[in-house]
Amino acid sequence: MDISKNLTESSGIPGTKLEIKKKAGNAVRTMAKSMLKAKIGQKALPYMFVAPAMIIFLLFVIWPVIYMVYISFFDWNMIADMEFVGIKNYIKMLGSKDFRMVLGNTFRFMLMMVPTTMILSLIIAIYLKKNTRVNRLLQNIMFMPNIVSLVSISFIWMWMMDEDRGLFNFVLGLFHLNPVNWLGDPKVAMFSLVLVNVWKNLGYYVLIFVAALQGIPGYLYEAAALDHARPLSVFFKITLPMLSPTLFFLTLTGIIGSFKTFESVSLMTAGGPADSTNTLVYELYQQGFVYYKTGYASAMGVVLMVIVGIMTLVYFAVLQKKVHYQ
Amino acid sequence: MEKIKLEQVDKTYEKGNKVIENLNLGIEEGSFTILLGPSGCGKSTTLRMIAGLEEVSGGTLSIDGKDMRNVAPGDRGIAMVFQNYAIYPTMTVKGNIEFGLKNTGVSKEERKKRIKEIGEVTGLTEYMDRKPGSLSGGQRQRVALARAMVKNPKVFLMDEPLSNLDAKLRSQLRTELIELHQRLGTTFVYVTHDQVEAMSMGTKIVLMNQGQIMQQGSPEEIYGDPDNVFTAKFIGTPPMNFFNAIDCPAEWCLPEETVYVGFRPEHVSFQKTTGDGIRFEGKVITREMLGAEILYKLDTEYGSVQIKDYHVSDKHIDRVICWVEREKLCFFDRSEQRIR
Repeated sequence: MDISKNLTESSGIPGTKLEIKKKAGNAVRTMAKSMLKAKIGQKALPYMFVAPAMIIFLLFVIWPVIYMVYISFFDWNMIADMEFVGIKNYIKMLGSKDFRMVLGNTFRFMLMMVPTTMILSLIIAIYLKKNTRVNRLLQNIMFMPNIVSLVSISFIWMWMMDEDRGLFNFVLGLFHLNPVNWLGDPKVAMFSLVLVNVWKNLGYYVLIFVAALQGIPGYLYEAAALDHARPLSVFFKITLPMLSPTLFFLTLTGIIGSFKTFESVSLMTAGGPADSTNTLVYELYQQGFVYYKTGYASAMGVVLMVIVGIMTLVYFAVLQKKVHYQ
Repeated sequence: MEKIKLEQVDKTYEKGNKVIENLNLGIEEGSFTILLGPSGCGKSTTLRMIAGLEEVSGGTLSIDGKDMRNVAPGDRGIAMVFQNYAIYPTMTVKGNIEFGLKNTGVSKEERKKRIKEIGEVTGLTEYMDRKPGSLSGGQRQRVALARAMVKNPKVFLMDEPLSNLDAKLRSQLRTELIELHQRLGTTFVYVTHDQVEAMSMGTKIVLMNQGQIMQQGSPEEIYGDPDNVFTAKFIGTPPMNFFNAIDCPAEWCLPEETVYVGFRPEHVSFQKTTGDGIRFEGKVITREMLGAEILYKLDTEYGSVQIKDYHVSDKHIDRVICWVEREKLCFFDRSEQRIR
């Protein structure tokens, strides 16, 4: 017979059936609770891990973007009260000759910069593809400009490009050629800026291309040799398609990067001469932090963001089908 | 007639290790020649030298009597199927098959015709516009085969083309390759480490070890009449059994200089055989029922012995007595060569 039943039906003293039931119930409840807690904990854990990064991201990327969009509808000089002006900043900007010129300069910079870097680095990478000690050394040397700050690089090149005392004109002089005003001639200045930026980025591009080239399996080239493929055909039908993800990535980051170019412009030409090197971000900086037209500068920032965003989308839409992912 | 001829061929790699030394090999026109051997024996290297993917370090290699020293792989009239297929992942199936034809300047109509034919033969017609990435292993292997076949080569070279496939598909493609060889009648050179593949497909087997040819001949010769201990041990599952000559339980005189005595597992009998032979006792360790035959593993005083018994209804356990006929025995000397 059941002991608890014996013990009694009457009283509520501990040990009775009722009490046992209660205890059991409590135990079940606490167990369920702790299980629930564990479940919540399990679900929350990943969020806790990404939280620090997300907080910083929200604070320093998302919030400023939202705030930038907000300010772009105001007239503000960072000191006086903000005055709501609607889309006046945008209208002013789109009607401005300066803005169109700056946009044109930026596109010109990008169109000179991206193809030059891509083609040059690909050629060098093909040359450095074979994994030998000399090639690794050369590759490291080529990568070095990338770890040096663009500020130092700009100063070094400014000295080299100096009209009277620079290395470039000294060398030209040795060959009895006329000196070039590298940074002072409106026709040459943009080219000089591109040169510096290409030089800085080349090593990084080469590094990635070499890795991608080394990732193409050798047997494909053997199969091509058996298929009687000529070198050009091998390059265009095998190497280039196999590199397509890399080309896609580098072109995209290159376009975005050249749209955001600032340091070398600021240090080497200050947008000059005659605004020939004035690019979008430099103009934005000028408007915002030199003329204190913060609202207007924010509107430019929004436009820059939209342009880069649209270009990225178009780029993805048009080219992604052609990219071969393994 | 010999289609491919290797005379005193050496292969030395950059770091100076010699993989192949003084290799002499003739590959008959229209044969299905198998280069067989354990990994690292130089069989793939030999094939790649024929293809022109590896340089010949010494000696001469000729195809159709023409020295191939300075002939590029694409100009040798050969086609190769690689172990990992080596199909171009960025091209469609059609693109893969067509690439070699385009490069050699085959006209558009001709290309179209040949691709259509090959598509039907290999069953790839409906996959022509697909990328290799969306194909199964077997289909990829067919693409590789189609790419080789469409060129109408004088010689097919195949480097372990079936080793990446599962067992069922492998045996299916094995039969297909045999049929293909019979239909085309071209020379096939096929590298494998799988003796079953070699035995079942080859009209001639070249067994290699450490860069040297151990024996060459028809599958029957290689199996039934091994020249040396290596061949006897490499071919056959399970391999030939060996006794040391000193303790071989023979009641007659072994040939002079015999050091090893070998016999195939299926030549051991549990019934007394007529004539003189050898008789030994053993203890059954394992008995594996394989369907058509039973595989016994015996522990004897001369070492372990494997036996294939086709009397599947018989069951031998514990201690047994076995007989092997005298003419089924192979004798080998100290240098592991056959005494005939």
